[in-house]
Amino acid sequence: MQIEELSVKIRDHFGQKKPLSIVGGNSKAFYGSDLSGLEPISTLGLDQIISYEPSELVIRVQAGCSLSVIHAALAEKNQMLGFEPPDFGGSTIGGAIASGIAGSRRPFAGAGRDFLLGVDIIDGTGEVFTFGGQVMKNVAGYDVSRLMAGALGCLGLITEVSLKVLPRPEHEQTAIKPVERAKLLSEMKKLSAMPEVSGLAWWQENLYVRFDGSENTVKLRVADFDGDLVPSSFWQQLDTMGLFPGADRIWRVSAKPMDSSNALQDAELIDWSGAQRWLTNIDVPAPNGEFKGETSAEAYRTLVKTSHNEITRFAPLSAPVAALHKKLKATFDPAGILNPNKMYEGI
Amino acid sequence: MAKGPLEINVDSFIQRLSGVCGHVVADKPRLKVYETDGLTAKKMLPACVALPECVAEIQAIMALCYAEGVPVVARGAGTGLSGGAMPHPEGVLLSLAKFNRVLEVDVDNRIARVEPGVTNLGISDAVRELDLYYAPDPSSQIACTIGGNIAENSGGVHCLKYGLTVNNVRALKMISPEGELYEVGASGFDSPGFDLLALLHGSEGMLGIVVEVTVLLLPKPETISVILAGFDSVQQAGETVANILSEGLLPAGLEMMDKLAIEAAEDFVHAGYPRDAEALLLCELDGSSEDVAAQLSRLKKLLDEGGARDVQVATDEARRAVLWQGRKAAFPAVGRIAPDYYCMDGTIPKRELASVLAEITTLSNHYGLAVANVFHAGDGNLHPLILFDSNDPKQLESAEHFGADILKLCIERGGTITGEHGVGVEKIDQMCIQFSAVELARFHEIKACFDSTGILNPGKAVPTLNRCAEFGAMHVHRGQLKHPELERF
Repeated sequence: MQIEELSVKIRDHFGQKKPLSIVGGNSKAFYGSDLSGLEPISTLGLDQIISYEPSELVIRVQAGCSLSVIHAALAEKNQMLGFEPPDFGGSTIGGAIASGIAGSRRPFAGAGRDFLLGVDIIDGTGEVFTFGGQVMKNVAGYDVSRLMAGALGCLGLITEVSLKVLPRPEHEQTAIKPVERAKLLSEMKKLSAMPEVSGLAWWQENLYVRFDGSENTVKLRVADFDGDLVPSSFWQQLDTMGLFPGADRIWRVSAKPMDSSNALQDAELIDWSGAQRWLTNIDVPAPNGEFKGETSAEAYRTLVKTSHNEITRFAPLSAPVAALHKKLKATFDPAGILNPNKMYEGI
Repeated sequence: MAKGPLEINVDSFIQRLSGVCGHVVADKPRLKVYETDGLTAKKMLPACVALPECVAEIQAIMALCYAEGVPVVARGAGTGLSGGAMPHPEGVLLSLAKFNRVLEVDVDNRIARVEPGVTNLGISDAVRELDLYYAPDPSSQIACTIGGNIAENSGGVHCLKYGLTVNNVRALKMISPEGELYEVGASGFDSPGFDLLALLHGSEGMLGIVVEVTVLLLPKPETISVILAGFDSVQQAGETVANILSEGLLPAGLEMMDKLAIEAAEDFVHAGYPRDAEALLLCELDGSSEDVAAQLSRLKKLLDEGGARDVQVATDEARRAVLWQGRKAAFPAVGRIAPDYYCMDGTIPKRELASVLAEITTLSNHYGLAVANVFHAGDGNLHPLILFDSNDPKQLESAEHFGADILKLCIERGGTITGEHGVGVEKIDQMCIQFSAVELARFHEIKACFDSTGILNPGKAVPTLNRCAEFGAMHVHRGQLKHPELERF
């Protein structure tokens, strides 16, 4: 379907108050509540790169364009998406932005929202909007573009995005060495201050570090680190949760990087220079019940993937913030037909 | 509609306001101080100024104003260039000047909690000895406050590599128009729910009052080099910028100045700029010493190929400061060669640079007003400085028309009417050109989600559709009027 047809379809569903599930590559259906019972609306017909000029450091693409096509186009000009969106197999750029899931480069480069310059969306009434721009700086009007990043399609169907892109590092290497859990954070703190570090994780008693930059510099850093070289494909495996095959539940705790209390002892994988901690096979705690990751107000947890039919996956919002969510939902999707309850009940 | 205090008796309102806020200014001579921000052409006296000292006071002020329908305009240092902090004649000007403390520096996590009235440079000063800094550096950084930076989503010369304010703030504590305190963002890298943190950035004081900010701090780079290069044409300089970026270099800063700006800056600070050049590039590289050396050799090659001359490289701090001084003093330098200047802030795709500058020259001849151009070349943000004399009302009017034409030109070339200064009152008419009626209506609806009675900074940033109709510009999206069946006004 093209934009006009998508708009007509949404307008029809708005009139009939019939919910829709927005689907791109359908590679992240696990994320958020299960909407498989709803009628899908697919962005896959929107698969074009609209414009790309390397010297502008900007690419403008339709939402259904696959990450692999975008990666290939950028790689040809030695550029890349700075936020390293994980490709779960056929993932689209629209889904990468809407999900807000960022890869291992997040603490060093930013998330999708940091690279998003503009979006075109269709709201829950079928109306088409253009927000933001195709230039690097734009402060005209409220930043609705970034509001769409991570909104899981609850505020609109993204049809097109403009993204800032980055030069691909001249050289890249990943090295590992054993580090015990107790010394992990101090090691990460030291390394994360180095401009050449673009990945920093701890998995199975090993510290994984990705260095990038000019060839000479990377070689020097790797030599200083004094570990063993491993393939950089580790990061794709990590980002797509490939390190936990068959896990019943996968939890993610987002914390301050050096937070020594939240989930540090129980995490199986620690990524993002300490700020993203992964736990598996822990039950959903009862309301007010204890979570093994002992998340405090300083951190929050998300049930990223589960093989059970659980409703509550995202951390609760404070009352004033929840009220703002409800109002924004009612503004962008007054009939509540776009990905209803995907993130929170009533949103 | 918000009802102004003038309709309900100013004196009795001020009395009630003084009951909840210890420091209220209401006498005319002292109100004068607040009548304008950095856009001095727009002046207005507020009904009164409140200078609260604690969050509870702000909450009480907001609750009172909300209950009585009195407009509130928040103000930091008043350095904004688009009139965003211009007072409302029947409203309270809420000065956050007393919120000037750095509350906590968390070195381990490289974040700091600060109050909104702390200056931009004040944050970096507070962490200098820890070898950390706060990256966004608008040229007014010595005076402008972090609260104002959030309201405008301020940039600066280093945002090509390090991003804007929105990319460097982790969390905000806000007060709603009703006086309710809430938090968005988190001290980690993300937070659950919609990205309200991003939505609040650049919202020009229309959605809430910022009372606390958690900013990201960066380690100071080990090595910094600044490279200056002169060019015989703007075209050559523009092409070199394009080559630098497409060849994989990501400078910390990449600035361009045209001939008039070069001459004005050189006369003012004697930085050693090539006075006979038509354009000048300033490029800053940072990182580890090995990496900067590698970048520098690639850059020099690109400059050579681009026809650069008078290339200077500064690595020691003193010499770097001199090279930057000309650029940083460009506005006051231009201020010396004309009684007044009007600073514009459009953004364009970089490929349009040479032709947009040629068009600006044509407009300059048409209006009979000179223009100096400084340009955040790396991110396409153009600051034409239109020279005029405000004692001649005709010149002021011409300057405003000239500015409006430049903004229109920016939109026509695929750009935007404001890169970093905000819309405020200055560019509110041009919003009608950049956005369609449905988009503007959506902005108003978003405001209503946060501010249902419209007491926060009313009349700024987003024009009413009536105003657009009067301005005579209704943006038509991709050559088609959306929903032609709908009535337009």
